Amino acid sequence: MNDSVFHRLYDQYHQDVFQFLLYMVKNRQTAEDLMHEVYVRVLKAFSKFEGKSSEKTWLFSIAKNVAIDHFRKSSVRKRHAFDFFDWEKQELRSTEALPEELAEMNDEMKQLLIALDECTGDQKMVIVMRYFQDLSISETAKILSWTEGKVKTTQHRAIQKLRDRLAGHSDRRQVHDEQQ
Amino acid sequence: MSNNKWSEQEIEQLLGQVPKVQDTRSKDEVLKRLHEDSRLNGIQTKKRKSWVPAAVAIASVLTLSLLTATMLNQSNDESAQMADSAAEESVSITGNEALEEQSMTMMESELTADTAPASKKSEETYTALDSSAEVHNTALYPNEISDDVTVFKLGLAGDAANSVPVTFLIPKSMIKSEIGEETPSSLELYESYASRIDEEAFGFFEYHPYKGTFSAEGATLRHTLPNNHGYDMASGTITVYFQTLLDTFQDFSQIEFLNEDGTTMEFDQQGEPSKPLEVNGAIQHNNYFLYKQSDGSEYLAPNFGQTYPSLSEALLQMKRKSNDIYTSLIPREVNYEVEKEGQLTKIIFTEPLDLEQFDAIVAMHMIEGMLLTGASFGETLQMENVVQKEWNGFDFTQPLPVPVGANELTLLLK
Repeated sequence: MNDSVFHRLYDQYHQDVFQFLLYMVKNRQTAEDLMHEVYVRVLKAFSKFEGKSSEKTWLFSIAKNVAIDHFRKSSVRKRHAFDFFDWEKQELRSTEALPEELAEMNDEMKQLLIALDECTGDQKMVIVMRYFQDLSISETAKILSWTEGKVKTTQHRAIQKLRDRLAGHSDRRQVHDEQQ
Repeated sequence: MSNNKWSEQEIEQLLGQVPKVQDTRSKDEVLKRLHEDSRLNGIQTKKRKSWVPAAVAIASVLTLSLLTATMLNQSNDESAQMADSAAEESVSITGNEALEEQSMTMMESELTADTAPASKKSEETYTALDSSAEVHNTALYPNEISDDVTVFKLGLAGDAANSVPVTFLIPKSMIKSEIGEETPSSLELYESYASRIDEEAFGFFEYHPYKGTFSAEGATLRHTLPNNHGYDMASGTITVYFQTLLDTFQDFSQIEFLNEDGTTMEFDQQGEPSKPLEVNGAIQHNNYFLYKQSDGSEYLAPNFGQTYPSLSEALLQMKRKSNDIYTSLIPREVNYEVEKEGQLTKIIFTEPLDLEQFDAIVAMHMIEGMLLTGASFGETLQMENVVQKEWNGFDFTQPLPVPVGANELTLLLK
């Protein structure tokens, strides 16, 4: 194993990629495991990295695949007729409780993260990349192997869905408050 | 609170305020865990960097001469093809023995236990440690194909400059909504799904879709390639290219290779205008071995597409250690004879074969490897002298089912 490659990648990208994984799975232990898997895949393939994309988008694309793989493996799968996992259309829902630091967030933020789990996989991925990781539309498109147009459309739909979900939560709370 | 409470701008603002979270582990802690991972330990790294390319280079030189000669000769008549194939086979075995001697010791010591199998079935079967446990088959069989699914076969590019045939089942409802056809051709399936299949998630190179464009005319598939296609860059690359095509487009009778100006392609590795690649459906006259990707996931695959003149020869050769990339699926202590009886080919085990004495996965791999080899000749097998009458879905009192495809995988779209 090439330690110097690890040191460089760690210094430049570790916390960013870890945060991406943690927000995807919402469990610190799982995020640590997935981060390990990302390094294994990256270090094994590093000699084959052709520089067609930036190192950053390459790393994130591997992290994205590792995360999808995690959701695929943990999803309930039936054999054959329904034996496929389309991460773009299905929810990448984490059943985990929020990590400690996220549990201390205000209610609005908690509702936002819960609403994010109700988005489809492609929407959740775009939101985490664009807003939590501050990745550009171009970078997000490269990571997901999409067109920039698709990123923009997906982002727009995700925001609308979050708005609807949050409004639903707020309305329910209001009804509850009024009943009291 | 009404819907107006949340404007899109406010949502975006809130999203931008999500707290930053950090990995609280130290760098050393992260590194220590990586050092302990057998997939990255010294021997493994050495294998990837030194002997695999060397082995692939040697293997691809040997198999390229095999493959290209076989493929180019396939337009000749059947008997000539068989004779060629037999001659090539002896060359290949000699070559592979040399390779085997060079680096035989590396195989067993370096391939590590699977920690991240790509195949769903592998994940399930890996928990089975004894033969009494239920294990799932890895291939796809006719009785597993319901009316509402379509079979999609694809050759994936493995770590060792090889093609690994895999099989997906796609719901017809999905195909109908996306392609509009109830019974699409392999080309239509390829063009709709190959670019979306997450090869990397399965541990393979992102090889598909092919460069250039495809067109079909009757049973002929034409691949028009751009100047810089790179498929003939090296003997290994053209082997992967031809073999993945054979593993993918099995409903065409031949594949022609064209330049963008419509002239016949001349591949660098061949030095003459290419002849059409003959496709004989799933009948490829291969036998099957165990192939391990560097991430530990296991597949049953032909040995770089090596062909055999007869099924009995192919079955008997399965016992040979082929090279450092493919290992035999037949446990050392298992011996058998092959007899042709009418339409049936019988595998008669020399000693009573007690499947319970083997690891269930090893036993399953052996049975399925033989069945896939039979399928590669379009023939049905029956096994005799097996202690168990039935085992994990196989009824040994009857002819066994002919697999439809190897290595069934979950359709994982990007």
